[in-house]
Amino acid sequence: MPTRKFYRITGLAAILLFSINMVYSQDRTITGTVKDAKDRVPLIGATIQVKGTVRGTVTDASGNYSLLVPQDAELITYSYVGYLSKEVSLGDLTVIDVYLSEDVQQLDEVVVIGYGTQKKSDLTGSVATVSAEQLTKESVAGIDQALQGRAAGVQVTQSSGRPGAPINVRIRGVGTVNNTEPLYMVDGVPMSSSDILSISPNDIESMTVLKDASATAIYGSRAANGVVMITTKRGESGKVKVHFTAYTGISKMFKVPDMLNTNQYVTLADSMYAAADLVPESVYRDSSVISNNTNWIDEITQTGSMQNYHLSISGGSENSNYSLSAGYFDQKGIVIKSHLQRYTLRANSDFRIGERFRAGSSISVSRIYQDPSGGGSFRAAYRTAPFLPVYDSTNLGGYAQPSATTTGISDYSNEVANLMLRDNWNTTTRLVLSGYLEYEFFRGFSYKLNASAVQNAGRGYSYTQAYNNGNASVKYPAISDGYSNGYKLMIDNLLMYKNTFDKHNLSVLLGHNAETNFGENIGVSVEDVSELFTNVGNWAYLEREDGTNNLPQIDGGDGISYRLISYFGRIIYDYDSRYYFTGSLRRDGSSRFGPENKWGLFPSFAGSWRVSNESFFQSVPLINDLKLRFGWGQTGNQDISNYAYLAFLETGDHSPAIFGENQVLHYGAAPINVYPNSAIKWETTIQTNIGADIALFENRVLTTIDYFIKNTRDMLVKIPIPATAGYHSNADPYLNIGEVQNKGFEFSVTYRKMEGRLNYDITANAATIRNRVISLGGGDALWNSGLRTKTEEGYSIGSFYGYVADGIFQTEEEIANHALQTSGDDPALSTSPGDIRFKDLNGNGKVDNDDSDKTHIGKSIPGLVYGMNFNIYYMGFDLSLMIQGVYDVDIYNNAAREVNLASNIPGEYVKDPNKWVSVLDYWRPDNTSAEGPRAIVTDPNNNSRISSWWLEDGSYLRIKNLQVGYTLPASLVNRVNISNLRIYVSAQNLYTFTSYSGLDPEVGTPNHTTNVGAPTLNVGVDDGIFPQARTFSLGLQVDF
Amino acid sequence: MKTKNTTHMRSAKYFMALLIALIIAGCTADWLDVSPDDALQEGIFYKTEEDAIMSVTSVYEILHAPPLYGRDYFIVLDIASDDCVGENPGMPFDNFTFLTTDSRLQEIYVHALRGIFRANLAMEKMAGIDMDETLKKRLIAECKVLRAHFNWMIVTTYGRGQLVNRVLLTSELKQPGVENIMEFYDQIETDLLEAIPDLPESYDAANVGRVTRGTAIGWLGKSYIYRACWDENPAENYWQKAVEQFEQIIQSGNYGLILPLSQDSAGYFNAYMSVFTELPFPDGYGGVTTAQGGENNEESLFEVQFSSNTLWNPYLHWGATTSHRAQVLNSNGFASGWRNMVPTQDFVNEFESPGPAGLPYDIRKYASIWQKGDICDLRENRDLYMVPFNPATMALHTGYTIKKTIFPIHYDNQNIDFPNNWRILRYADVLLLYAEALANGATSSIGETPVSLVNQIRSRVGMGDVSDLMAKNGWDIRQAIMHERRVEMGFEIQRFLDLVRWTQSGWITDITKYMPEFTPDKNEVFPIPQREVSLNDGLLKQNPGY
Repeated sequence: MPTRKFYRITGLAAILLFSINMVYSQDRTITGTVKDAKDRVPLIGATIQVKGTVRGTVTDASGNYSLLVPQDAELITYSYVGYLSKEVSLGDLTVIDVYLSEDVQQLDEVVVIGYGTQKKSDLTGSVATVSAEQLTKESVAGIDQALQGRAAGVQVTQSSGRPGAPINVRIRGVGTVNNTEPLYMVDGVPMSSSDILSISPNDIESMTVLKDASATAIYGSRAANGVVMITTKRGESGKVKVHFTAYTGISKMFKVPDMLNTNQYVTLADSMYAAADLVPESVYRDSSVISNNTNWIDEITQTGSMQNYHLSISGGSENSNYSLSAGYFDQKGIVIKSHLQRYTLRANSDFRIGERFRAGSSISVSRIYQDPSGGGSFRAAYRTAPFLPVYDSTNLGGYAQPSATTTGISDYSNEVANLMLRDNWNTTTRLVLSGYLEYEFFRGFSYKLNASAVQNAGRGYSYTQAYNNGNASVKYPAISDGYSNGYKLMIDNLLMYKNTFDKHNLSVLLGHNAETNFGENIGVSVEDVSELFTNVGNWAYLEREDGTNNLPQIDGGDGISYRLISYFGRIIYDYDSRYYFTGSLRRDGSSRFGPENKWGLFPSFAGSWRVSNESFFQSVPLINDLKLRFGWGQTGNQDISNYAYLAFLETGDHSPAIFGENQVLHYGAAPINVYPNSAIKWETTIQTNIGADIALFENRVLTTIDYFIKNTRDMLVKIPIPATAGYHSNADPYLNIGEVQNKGFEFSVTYRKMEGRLNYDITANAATIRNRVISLGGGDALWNSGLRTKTEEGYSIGSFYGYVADGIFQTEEEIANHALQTSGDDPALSTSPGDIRFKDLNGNGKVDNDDSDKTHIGKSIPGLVYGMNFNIYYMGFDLSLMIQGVYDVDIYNNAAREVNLASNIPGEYVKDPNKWVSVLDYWRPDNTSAEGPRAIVTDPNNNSRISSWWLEDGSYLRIKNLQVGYTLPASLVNRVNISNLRIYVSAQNLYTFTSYSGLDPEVGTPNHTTNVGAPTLNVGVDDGIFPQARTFSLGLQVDF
Repeated sequence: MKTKNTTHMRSAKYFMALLIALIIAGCTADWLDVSPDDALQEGIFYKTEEDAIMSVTSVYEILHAPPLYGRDYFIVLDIASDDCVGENPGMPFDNFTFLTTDSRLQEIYVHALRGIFRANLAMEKMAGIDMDETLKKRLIAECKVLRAHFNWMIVTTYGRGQLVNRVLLTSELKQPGVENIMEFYDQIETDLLEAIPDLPESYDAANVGRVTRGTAIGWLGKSYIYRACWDENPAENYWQKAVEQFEQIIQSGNYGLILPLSQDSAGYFNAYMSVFTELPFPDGYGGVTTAQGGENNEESLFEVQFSSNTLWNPYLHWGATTSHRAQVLNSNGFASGWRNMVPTQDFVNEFESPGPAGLPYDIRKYASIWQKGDICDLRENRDLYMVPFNPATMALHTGYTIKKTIFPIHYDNQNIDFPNNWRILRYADVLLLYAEALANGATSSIGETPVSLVNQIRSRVGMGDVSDLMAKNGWDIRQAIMHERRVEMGFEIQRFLDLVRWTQSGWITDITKYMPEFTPDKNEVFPIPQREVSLNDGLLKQNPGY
């Protein structure tokens, strides 16, 4: 990407040439300085021109200018490449200081597209860009997190507030029940979403999100979920720049659940049990037991902290440039022990060798340390009785445990003990080496070779002490340890031709790509390890030879590999900057595809018409730029399992039998994995996009509107096969047979204004999604693991499914007149006033136990996702506000069934879990307008069943980030050899507007689900979320 | 200078062109053929003798599966019979109201076909393995015997199911049901007859538990009995053919009943109990006795081998090689069982009174059920089990629970990891079927009569001559055999099949006297699972009446 410096130099040259002819009399001189409106640095080479004439000058190295103007001159235009120009009325002024604002979304901006760059004004596809400056405004660990709310049609959901928790990024809806993650291309190297955490946001130059198929199809079988192009910072020729940035912050819960104290718990238990003609555990009346009161939420939480330091050095000369950076990020979460650390090191360099060769490299190393504790801690803390103390020095492990004598039951466990007595961590070390060599055969025609290697090494370690802790007791101290290794090798061969013939601009790309991936892991464990190995985390335990304890054993391991080969081509053509055409074709072969479908072809084309460049359009006022776009393309999702086309034999514990007098286990071998489908292939997405880019009011308002229809065909769905196949019914094959449709509008608008020293801009984006499963190809409906969502034809993916709650019965008459919910009339055993009324949807006079009275009750995919970004600059001060939200979405508040219902859940969960204080507003004859149904421990009416009672509006609007900064005057900092110094304070997740009753309406995927399709099918189920925190931080940015 | 520069440029161009060509040529299409590094593929397996053995082992595994001898098969067939009722009155298998979509019926069918598929695959793959020919023949014979048994399960449970003799291509998976159920019997007989010469009479200590020649001959005899009952146009005298097989078993000298060590109640009780357990068990008199035969004893022609190894198997749900029997059958009162089925009063009434040596009942009643007043005394776990059996809390509606095959309770393995082998063909069964064949007109070449055979069974538990019983009750030999089978073979998945078979052979004229909810001409077999009917595009027809 040509640098700004380059424009500055060429701009300066042009003006100097102009200036030669400028000799006038009767003129007066005006002087002044042109500076950047935001960081107040002088702009060198800014153009000052008398409007309507050719008279002008440029600023010098200090940003100063002096210009002779004619007496009749009225307006002076100040302009600078990359900045918004400004007009000033001359009047009688002789000194005019001007502050220019950076044109952050200028039409001439060059954006990164697949295998190249393009001017934004020449784009035919739907592409959203996010600059480094925006990304680094937020105090977050990863760049995917910072993407939230920044681009229309890009929905980012944090599944949890746990440091390092996975981030869910969805571009233009949910195209499949399988993998929905976009492809990340980091400096041309493909990466998975789990790798993104290894990149420091401070290293990012820009992010481009390729949304429609005409933009993504160049990535063929990996592009169906969209592509996120990430470019890291590279050096610029000029003097050495040193940039240091740091922030530190603290985090707190923004909503603390109010738990019942011991008194309230015991009183409620009495009511709950009495209603069922039962008596609670006798210890609930034992004053020695219930004298204690523990707030378990307080015990498991802490004030979190965050630190980030990043230093970069960059520079370059005529023939080379370099950029070196080092970063450290550390985040301690709001649950005790949860922790994330990241170390990053990056070196990017570019060289020009002679006339025709160019070469360069990018090297990055990162190490991530994570303590993933806390995922289930809130749910565990909700359950624990408030009279259980935290500590008990007489108990093995030193923490109190639930038991028959301390709590009456041992169903739950002391979560503080679980957290503190387990040493759980994992590390990932990642090395990315990539380099390129480019050779120019002749002007406009060149060849480029990219080669890269990625190496990943991971370790997951867990040491658990022996301790007594109710059901979570651990008999023997144990270590389980796992090691993983993976590498990827990739090569691109690109032939590029670019030329202009008269008004025809042509750019042609031909490419070849090959990639091989390999991964392996092994797990070992040992029980009853001696104290010698406590918390050391090294491999010493493998060396034990004492023979008295159990020896380490191998738990298992995997080894996988997959490969890809691709050939692709693209033509980009325009005529006279009015008519644009882009066409691309990619042919992908993947080792994952079955022999019948080894290769796939992915075409796309797009056209656009820049109406504003037509001669007839010149007279249209207000509209500066208007471009209409149309695109169509076909892409694939090849994130399918590696060997689904192969008949696999599994051995080991999969098919054993017993023989011999001593009943020895013999391993068998049989094909039992998944019935092979030799025709398995990618999931195909066909997308049509219509859009318009409009610039209004002298480019102050930039608007982009898109409408898309995205049809996924060939979605992999399990289809039952006859028993004659000899496979288990869990082993039904995946067939490319399902269909899903997503369609929606995307809208974004930017408005910028400069008023004297006050500059501000506002950007808003919004996107609608309508998601519908067209067909599951005859396969069964898909349920999530807890049967809360059902995905079937005619409904959206992961839509909530259950009974329809219809208020609370107030009288016996109401019950008698309603469909039968339970038989009998003993209120201790059957439906009674205060219970929830459920609709008899099939009208058979009975609320049935099967699915016949259940229906689709809500949706987990938001109808509208939006974001807004507001920046204001004044005299060195800056303020930025970032808002983000979703609308038209539901949350299934599964945690509330436990914490907000005065019953135990029949056949599920633990006995007598603690609850939120809000539960006390339960129905009683003297409290008939209560929020909750009646208190009864056995829940005979099954009020806790999966129903719309637990469904809540999941809409929210969140003040995601508010930052206030001050840039010290250059005159001050220059004295200490600092060219720029900015300090700021910021607040992350400052406030959330929502009616959702849970801790956090941003509910992603519960962290305990791993089965196929689960991430998509479980979205929006709140099982007791680890909420995001409100973080306040203080930061510093220094340039030397 | 100019020339030099041009040469440089030209050679650079050639170099680059060569580089591109080399790199692209290096990635040919077969580069995409990768293999998993952590799993076996068909293409690289089935090469060695060990591979052959492992492939046959996987056929045996299916016997353990929870849908078959691990759990569901006995739940379905014994609850359907008049010996047991389900945990709750009116359960589908009690009153024949099961649906064609019943998941147990589905899974039994699927697993029988899984066993057949694995046997077919092992046999086809072994053909290409260079290995010891004797061993190969034996392994193939084992596969054939197991395939015959799975086919027998299908034909007796589902009637006109699918007969699959080879590994099917994906395009061939849709298969018709058989036109005539005798096609199954033809296949079963062919498989067993082919297998018999290649099987050993016994194995070394390391291989005990595999099918033997005796297993195959015994199953062939039993299959002839079923065919004799079901075949409306018998080409041969299958009663006589059955007798030939049973006589081979008897004459082989490899098998016999476990006989009492003393001719008193303790001796009788211990002998009968020893058939079903390997553990020391209380003798009922304050002592503990050691099982006489243990597992794979002389009375056993074939057992499904279970052990307490608690391997997790994702495809078989719980323990891969353990039985769920104890969990399913135990009373909730003194072991954490589910009590999914309990004995009927009618079954309890079948036992004769008085029993031997002054006991009030046939001792097989004590060995088969728990009833009020029994002391559940297991020495090693005295604290847990020294409690009177209390029907009010332990048995619910019938007042009894099952004891046979799950006693003594393995304290550490009382749930799904119950390790006791499941005897699926035993010598007593052979004797009674032999008696049945003789009673149907076949002739013995070794001088046995139905009465002499039944008396062998009775004398082992101290019961008197069956002729006296017949005289006392006015029974003919058929009724005597039917009675003896019921008390001897209770809860061994025989009764339902016996009742249906006896109706076919004319011994029972009105089966609804035994099972009032039974619909003749319909419930003789269970429905073909609806899933399979649908998936086979009409090729597989539902059984009549469903």
